[in-house]
Amino acid sequence: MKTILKPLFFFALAVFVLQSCSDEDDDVMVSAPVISNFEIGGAHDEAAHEEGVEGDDHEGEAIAHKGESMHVGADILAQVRVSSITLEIHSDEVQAGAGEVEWDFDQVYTDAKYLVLNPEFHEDIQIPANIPSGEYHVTLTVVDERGNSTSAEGHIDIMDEEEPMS
Amino acid sequence: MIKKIKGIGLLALALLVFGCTETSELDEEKPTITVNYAQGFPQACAQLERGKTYTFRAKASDNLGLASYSLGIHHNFDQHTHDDQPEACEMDAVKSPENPLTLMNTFTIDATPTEEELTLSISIPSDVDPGDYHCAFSVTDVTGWQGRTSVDIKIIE
Repeated sequence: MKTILKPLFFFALAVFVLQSCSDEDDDVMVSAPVISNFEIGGAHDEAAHEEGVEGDDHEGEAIAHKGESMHVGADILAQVRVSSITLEIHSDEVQAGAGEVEWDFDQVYTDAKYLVLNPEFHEDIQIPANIPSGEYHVTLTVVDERGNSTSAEGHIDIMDEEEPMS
Repeated sequence: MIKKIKGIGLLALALLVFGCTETSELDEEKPTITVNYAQGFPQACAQLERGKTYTFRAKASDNLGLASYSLGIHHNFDQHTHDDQPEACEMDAVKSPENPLTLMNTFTIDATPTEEELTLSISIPSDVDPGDYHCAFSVTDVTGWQGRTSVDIKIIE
């Protein structure tokens, strides 16, 4: 009895344990990074800085002025390390008038402080003074080390410096 | 005798299953970093004079090991916010930067200790814009988690 039971039991045990182990390894699915609290704001966009106002609530109200700086911020959570963060700013609506130049901002950030699981993105972007006024699209794209990527989009109204705020 | 074999078998099973789950367990603990102790510097709302050199001090800890840290200073003339700001300081008026102080230093922490006091000597150049700044410490553990603390400081003439 003993001689039959023992090998049988350990065989079953080994099969069970090995299977459960390899299953777990195969199941390691890495989902794409998550972007939250995506925030775009100009220096004079006070509404955007009030506590509790974040994300979608103020994206439509974000205002910045030419020749000044605007900040772009976001909280990122990834399952494997972030490998790059790309910020793009462009406009589909505006037309460059006399003396104006279209603004097509595209920068890839690979700073050490961002190449972690939970980076806090924060950059101050200088807005050129000679661009057309209007609504600009801001896209933040986060790519992790496995190549998974997530984008968040927002927009900002860029106005003349002299223009009174509504 | 059968009982004994069963007992040994169950023990082995428990050990193996436990060992298996343990190896695939994730590090979910972020490192922490703080200036909230007597020698920590700068404290919230600290005023730093241009042309002077200061020793910045922060304590970091992690459950597994600390891998790197960084110290950044950037202007807060637009009065933005970060995720970790316990105190509100008296702020200057919003203004546009002309020659703001911007620095970002990143260092590797040797031997991945679980606790470390980080010290860094920083000189405030005499020609930078005075005003409100953020001093941002961050620390990254061996897994890749980052802990941060941001301190409001003011650079004065």
